[in-house]
Amino acid sequence: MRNLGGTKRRLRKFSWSRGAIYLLLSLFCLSTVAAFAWVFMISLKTTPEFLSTSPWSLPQHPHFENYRVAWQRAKIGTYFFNSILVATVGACGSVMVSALAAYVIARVPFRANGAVGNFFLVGYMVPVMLTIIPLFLMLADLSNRTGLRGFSSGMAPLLALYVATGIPFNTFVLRGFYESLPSQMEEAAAVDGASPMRTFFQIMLPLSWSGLVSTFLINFLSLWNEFFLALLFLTKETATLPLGLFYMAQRAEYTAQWTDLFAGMLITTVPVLILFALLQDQVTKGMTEGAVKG
Amino acid sequence: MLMYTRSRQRLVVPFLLPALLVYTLFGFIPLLLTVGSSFTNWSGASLHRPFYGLRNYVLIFMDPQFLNALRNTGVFALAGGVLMFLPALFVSWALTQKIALRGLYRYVIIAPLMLSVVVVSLLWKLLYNPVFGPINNLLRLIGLSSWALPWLGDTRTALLAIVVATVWQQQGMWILLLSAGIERIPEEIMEAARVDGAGEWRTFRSVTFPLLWGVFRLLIILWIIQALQVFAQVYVMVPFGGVGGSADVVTTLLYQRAFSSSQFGIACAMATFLLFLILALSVLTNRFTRRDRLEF
Repeated sequence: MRNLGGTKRRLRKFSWSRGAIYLLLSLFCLSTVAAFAWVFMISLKTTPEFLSTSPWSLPQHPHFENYRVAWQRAKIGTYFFNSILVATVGACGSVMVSALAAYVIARVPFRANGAVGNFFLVGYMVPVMLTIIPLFLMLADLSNRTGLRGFSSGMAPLLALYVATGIPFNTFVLRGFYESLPSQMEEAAAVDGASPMRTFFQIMLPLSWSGLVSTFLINFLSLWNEFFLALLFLTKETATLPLGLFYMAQRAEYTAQWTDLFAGMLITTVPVLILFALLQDQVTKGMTEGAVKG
Repeated sequence: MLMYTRSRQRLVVPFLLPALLVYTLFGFIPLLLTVGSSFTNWSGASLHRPFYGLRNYVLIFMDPQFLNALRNTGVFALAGGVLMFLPALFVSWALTQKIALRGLYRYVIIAPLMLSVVVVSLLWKLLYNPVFGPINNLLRLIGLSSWALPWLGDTRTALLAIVVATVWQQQGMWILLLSAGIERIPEEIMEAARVDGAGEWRTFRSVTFPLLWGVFRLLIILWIIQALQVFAQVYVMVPFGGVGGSADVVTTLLYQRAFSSSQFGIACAMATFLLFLILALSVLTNRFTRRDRLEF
């Protein structure tokens, strides 16, 4: 009988904490969902309706026009493709050069393995936004002298910086990945007479595919979201989504065209949310590994 | 085998070169240039940089705006860390329990981390809006009209309002790493605690929490690096550092000094000091939070 009482007490305590868990987690999630529901509802209102009705009211007639206006007139469409271009090229470039370097640091013994690895790690602690001023001015000077604007504005310097800023994280994570692979594969390939180059591209690279994918995804997301360097190097015409949205919000302060801005925000956000829903495990795995080993 | 190693060593140069080149040119040299330029009186678009000794550093520490920005940056880092700690700990613990819809909760809670800082800042700027923002609307609805402040326009609340928006997004990182840390704790240890008669709370306090110490150290260091360089949140939510510089941080001030007043030497000195601060605080945190490693 005593035993039964004990079990019962434990059960009740259990369900109390369980109730608290559900309540607090639901509140947490509800606030986030409510914020996005608000953005979505307003993106379907007209500006006069938005300014005259309660923030919680449903739109009278869903006004999808806002999305068209944001996409075309506010150039969110152009920014969208700029973002895809910059994030894809930047992430691919950074992961590729980092994979090569990480492989050598992890698996080929040479005199400076440790030193090179540490050299790359310096970038982990040095935010690019604090070191960019002299480089930016020098690139501007170079453009003035040569008359080529491409040195200091547009995609080229931006991509170079995106590739460079990804290297510390990428070499670090991929290094861990290559270190964890068994060495028998390489040895077997060597015995079969495959060149080291071929061994890397045909055996090691495919083996590290999952690491490459999650590193790529993390790079892609962070470049898709990047604001500061875009602000320095891009203009209103060549902007990526975060920068374009920023300019759109600045305009809204004067024109009060708020509802297009809400539509633009959703156009920026929804692809990320879908991508994250589909690939949550790869993304979070890469982030956890990168941080924990660091 | 030796020959094999030799032949592989031929990969070293071609494989390292691209990464080294890009990283040195666009990552490492800019660092050296910034530190170097902080000792110069660089003031124009030309590259003429007369040597100026340590005067920039003296000047920035006599500048009340810099001291204000430094203080705000410190408040931002401290308040953010404090606000993140408990909710993140609770949520990550809750997410490792056997609960229904765990995946959905996890997704919704971590998703903001994947969004652009600009989107998050705009979202909160709109939520805080004194005219149409739902936060003030809600406060008026429940009869707290006097609490309905212009959050970002009020010198008392501007910085804290930015902290809240940042915490809302960044706690995802803490939750991600903490729940990964909890999941790594072997089931036997938890089981042993339960067999010894420890309840949920006691197990958490005496077993889970101490075993998470390493993760906390890491999170604190990551947060220091991230919080001291906060820029976009302030730049998007309160242009020009807010009313009376109430939300001005070091990065926003240094960009204003560089690109509005062409005081590049001063801006580089601020950047160098901030870099030094990030480095020093990370090293100190690392040193002073070290504990005997708990083996498990």
